[in-house]
Amino acid sequence: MSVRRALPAVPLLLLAAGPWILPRDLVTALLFTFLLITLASNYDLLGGFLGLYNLGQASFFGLGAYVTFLLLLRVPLLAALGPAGSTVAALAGGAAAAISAVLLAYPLLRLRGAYFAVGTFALLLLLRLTVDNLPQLTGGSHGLYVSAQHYLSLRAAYLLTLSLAAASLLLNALLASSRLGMAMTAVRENELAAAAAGVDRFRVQQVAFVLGATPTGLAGAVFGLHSGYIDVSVVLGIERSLFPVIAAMIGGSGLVWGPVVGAVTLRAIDVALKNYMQLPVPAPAIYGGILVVMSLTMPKGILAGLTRAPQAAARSGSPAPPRPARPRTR
Amino acid sequence: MREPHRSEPHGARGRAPAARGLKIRGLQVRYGEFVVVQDVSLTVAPGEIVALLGPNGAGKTTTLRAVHGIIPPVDGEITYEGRALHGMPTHERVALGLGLVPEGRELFPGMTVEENLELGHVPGRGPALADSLADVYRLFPLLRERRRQQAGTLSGGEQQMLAIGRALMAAPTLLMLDEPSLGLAPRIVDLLYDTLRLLGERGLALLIVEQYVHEALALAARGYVLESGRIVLHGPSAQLREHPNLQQTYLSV
Repeated sequence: MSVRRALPAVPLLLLAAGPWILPRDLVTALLFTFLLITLASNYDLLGGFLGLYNLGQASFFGLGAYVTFLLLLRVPLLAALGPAGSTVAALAGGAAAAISAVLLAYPLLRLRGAYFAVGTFALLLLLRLTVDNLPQLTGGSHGLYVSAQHYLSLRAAYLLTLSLAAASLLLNALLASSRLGMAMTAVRENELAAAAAGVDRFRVQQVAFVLGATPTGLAGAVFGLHSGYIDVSVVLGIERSLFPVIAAMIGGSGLVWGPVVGAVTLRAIDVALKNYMQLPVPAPAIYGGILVVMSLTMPKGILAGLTRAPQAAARSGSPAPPRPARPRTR
Repeated sequence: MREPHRSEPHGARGRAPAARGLKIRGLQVRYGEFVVVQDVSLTVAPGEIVALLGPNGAGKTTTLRAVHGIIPPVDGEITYEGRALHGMPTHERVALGLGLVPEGRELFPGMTVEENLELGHVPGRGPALADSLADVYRLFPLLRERRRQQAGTLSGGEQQMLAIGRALMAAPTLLMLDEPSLGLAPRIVDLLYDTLRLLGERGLALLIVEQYVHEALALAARGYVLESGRIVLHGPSAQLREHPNLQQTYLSV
């Protein structure tokens, strides 16, 4: 059991050595994959466990990035501290994402189903508008820069995003076997029964909302400090918000490794499209097409499609005795 | 701790014993414009077993759901152990000692038997998780055998036991059961009522909603008959059982 549990640590250690052994292009590609894995598994914490589809996951990414940048730009003490100041600012960025999730839960979790999805997407649009229209504070459409002393090197950013992705996966895995995870499943499966059993729906969903926002906020901070520049289209982009959803969907929602499979697939397609192919149509059209084909052929995602198929084959190998047809009587 | 309940002379001194147990006064519940519960007043004293009878659509389930905070009433007052329940969320009512075994069991079919039970446990209330589990397994040995099995694969009777077990995990002082015998074979119903009798002997108060009156009135001390959202009859079980044409007139079974 303990060996089995330790197994994922081996590829993790290999991946951690990446920046020293892999070409720079690939390291960068992996960094962006880790970011997507973080956002996708954070998204799926709500989407998979609770059936709440957050289309505004990038809101927390943007909040984390902007709070980090604003602290470094507006608080001279932090700026003077150099890397230590960046660390404090990044942690504050993560905390800002967590705190805003605590508060946003009150209005957003009143919404159910499609209304929640629309509400979270509206939140993203609202944040984009706000940032765009406060140029004195946020730089508006010009974005914000931090000085070079706060930049995160590629190696550091790689290791940090790898850690965030791993922590997000671990969080989902631990939740799956925890009392909170059980309560989340209960709320999704049968809200009435969960209430009758004494489960506090709102509190359970709120905690999940915060847990799903915090690593994303930290990822925003790390991303910002690595690129040294942020603006609305980068950290609060529509694609930034929808890619995690697509990754979770094509990988396998509700499965810990689903978002990983989806994120890697999506990033591979993205790199291939941008670097090696002349596109006859805009990239989003390709993603839309992939999503349509996926939902028709593997509605539960690649991972579920792969793991279910052998079982189904085994089952069809020894078919159950056919049920005797029951004569219709009145 | 539990003192024997003495029936008070009607309309006597407002306060003292009136605060104990469940009291519903003038309850009215609607779904939109449709009034389901018109005017329901009933009491369940600590440790008392009460039956709430009535035909389909009389408002029995709705009454229990209003007590449990699943549906907000439009009018009336519900108090438990002296505390007004108005506006209180369901999980707080569970923490106060109210348990509900919903109609149709309402289990989590994809979870195991034990996970369903664990979910019912409220940390910090009643015995520790392991002790609560052991107690439920003592009461329903079959659930122990099936504890790794998915709840959805249980038979109807086993599911009902699990639903009761899950409610007991929260250490309730009043357990409300919504048609526990629904869809069960007579032999299983007997077994179920034996267990309910045992729970009653332990001092647990029960409010049992049934369409089939015989078993319920055999167990309960008192009964209420609900029709079209109003209490049309109430009294000691013996008296209700002897009521001429109770079944034909009010229950249409």
